[in-house]
Amino acid sequence: MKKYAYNEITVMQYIFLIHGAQVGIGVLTLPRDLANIVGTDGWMSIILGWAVSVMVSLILTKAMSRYPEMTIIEILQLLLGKWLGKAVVFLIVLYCILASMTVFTYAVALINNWLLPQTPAYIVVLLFIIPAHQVIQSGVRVLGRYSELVFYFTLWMPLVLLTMWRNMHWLHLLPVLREGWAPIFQGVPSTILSFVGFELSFFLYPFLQKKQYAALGIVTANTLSMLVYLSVTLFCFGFYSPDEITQFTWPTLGLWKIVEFRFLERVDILFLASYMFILSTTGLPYMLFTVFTTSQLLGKQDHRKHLYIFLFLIIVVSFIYMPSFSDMQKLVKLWGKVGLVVAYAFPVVLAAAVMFIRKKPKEQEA
Amino acid sequence: MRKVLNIGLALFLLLSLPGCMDRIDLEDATLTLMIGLDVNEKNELLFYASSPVFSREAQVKSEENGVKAHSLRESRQRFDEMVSGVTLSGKVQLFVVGRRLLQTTDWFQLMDVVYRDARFSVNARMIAYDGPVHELFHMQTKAKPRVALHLLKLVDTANRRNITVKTSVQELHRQIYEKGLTPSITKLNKVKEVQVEGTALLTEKGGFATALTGRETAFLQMLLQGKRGEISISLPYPDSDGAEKTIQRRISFFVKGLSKKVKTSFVDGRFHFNVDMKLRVSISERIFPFDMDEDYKKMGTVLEKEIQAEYQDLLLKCQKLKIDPFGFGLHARAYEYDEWKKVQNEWTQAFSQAKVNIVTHVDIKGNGNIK
Repeated sequence: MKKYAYNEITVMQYIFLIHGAQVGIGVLTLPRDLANIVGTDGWMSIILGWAVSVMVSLILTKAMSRYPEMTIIEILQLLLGKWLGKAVVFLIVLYCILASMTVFTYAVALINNWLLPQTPAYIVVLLFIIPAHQVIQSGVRVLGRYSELVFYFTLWMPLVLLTMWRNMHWLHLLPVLREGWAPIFQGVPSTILSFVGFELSFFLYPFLQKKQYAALGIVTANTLSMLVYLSVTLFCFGFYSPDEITQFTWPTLGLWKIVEFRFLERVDILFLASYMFILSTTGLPYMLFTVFTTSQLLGKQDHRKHLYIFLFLIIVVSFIYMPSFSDMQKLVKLWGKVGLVVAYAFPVVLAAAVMFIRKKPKEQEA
Repeated sequence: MRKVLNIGLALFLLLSLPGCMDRIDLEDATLTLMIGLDVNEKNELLFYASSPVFSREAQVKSEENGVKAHSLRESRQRFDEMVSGVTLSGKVQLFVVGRRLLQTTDWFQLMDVVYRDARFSVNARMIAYDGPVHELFHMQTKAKPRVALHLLKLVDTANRRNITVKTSVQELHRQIYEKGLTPSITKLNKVKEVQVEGTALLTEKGGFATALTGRETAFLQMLLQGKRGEISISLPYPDSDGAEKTIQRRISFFVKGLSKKVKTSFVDGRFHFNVDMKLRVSISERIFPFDMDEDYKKMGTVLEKEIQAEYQDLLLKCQKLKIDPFGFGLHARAYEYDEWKKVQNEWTQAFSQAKVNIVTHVDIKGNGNIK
């Protein structure tokens, strides 16, 4: 029985859902973090980080293929029994809430900092809630279409960045391996964090129409994200002096401030508006799977009621409390640490578990 | 019922939109186009702003104000007290620093808000004004458009001909923080009218070091940027009985193409930079008789020698003052990293002892319409 047949997604949607979830906050800060830890050799850490994330992604896909019609929620309950399974699933819910809230508050803070410093945060929150509600209420397939569409709409960005070519000082990148390999390996943890997002496959796998392309899809998504990170980082390193890049909070945004056309002076504003779409493809899937999981835990098929409650809570909380600049950084760090466990350690454990625990789903037993 | 609820919700959310506090109507805005920083005899900081006035009734089309304040952001409050609209810094085109301020150290710290506030335009051109800045702001004449727009054109077109550099505010940040390079910004001066006067070279910290003439700037630009815009160079041609004549032997050419290679090495405790420049030039003026068909090779070698001599003077001047506007430090870092690491914090000191050797190869590609 195909439980999720009504909501199947194509391979393209699968790729862009994962790619969208991966590329988010990281793209703004990764160049600076890498410059801090590694220096101008940081771009090599990205490639190493990509290799790690592809490896774990493949393990994850393998593990999920054991029960192709089940999401992680059902698998855990099958493997661990009803109550222990539910407890672990609840932890996953907490993770999804953490991820979606981090992205959400980051987006609000960014808008507040860059575009609308005088506007109260809850108004920005309200404005974000409307599209979030529209996209999420219709489920996985619509979200997949949305992610794919957003991806196509951002294809102009690399072209505009290329107009910066004459401002680049590629001499900054030399010498290669200036301090040897050690710092490059030290940079890998922060790059693998920016690949967090492929763990959504825990939920997405059963929705995928053609399961034979699951591995190919997840590798493509990782590679796309790697190319985005690599090009952004190289451009930042070429533009900013290695001595100055650590001065900026968001070097990638600063890059856009330089681009200037005869007919358009502040391209960065335009970029930031489009960037909100990119951020939304990171935050919305986590939001969807938060309410999707809580509904499933309570045995309900329709996730919309939970969505309304969740969004309402966000508005209420934003009235009362908006994280400060330093809280935000703590939040991002926390997500990084938890993400490391959920996205990198958990799939390996799961793969081992499905290898050794041979339980059959009820439908197949009958 | 559901529909009504949905519509009601959407309406409520949309109606909250006007609550957006950052809305600004253009008629309420005063767009600052030029900002000036200076210091007076009593060591008080002075700030100037020039903004266009969009009003049919106004006779003068731009307003200039100067205030005393302690910082740029504080000065904005004072400007708001004077101008009709709220002052906005998103359209700033020129950033002028006066001579007296340039002589103080650490004036660059005043620029903090420019980089911290995301709304500031960082593409504004940096300008060093050789004199008190109020002169520049109150130079409005009937023959010229608004001060800021006039100066903007002046600087940009001068840069197109490579008689001055074009350093944006963002670029200045790079030049200040980059250890292997010292800043260079456009220099303006008032002789009779305000005019571009080549390039101001600054020290590591941003203090004024020396000035380059427009002529020398072309050489700096060739080394720093390669060929960008038009490069036209005029050189004396060696002449045995030259000095007394009114019309001396002179040759002018423009650079059609330029490629350079820098070889970096570290020998005997100092850096060596061997710069190999290949110039493809076209003669545009020659005010003495010369047989180009026969002796074009000789002309090439003469030009090579003259250009090398110019560079030698320029480099000596900079090394004496311990500045490196050419960015040789970047080459040192890229190719002699271990040695660079030892001296990176005193790069200008190391550069003053470095040996720079510039070899040029001139290839005459064109001779103009007459023989």
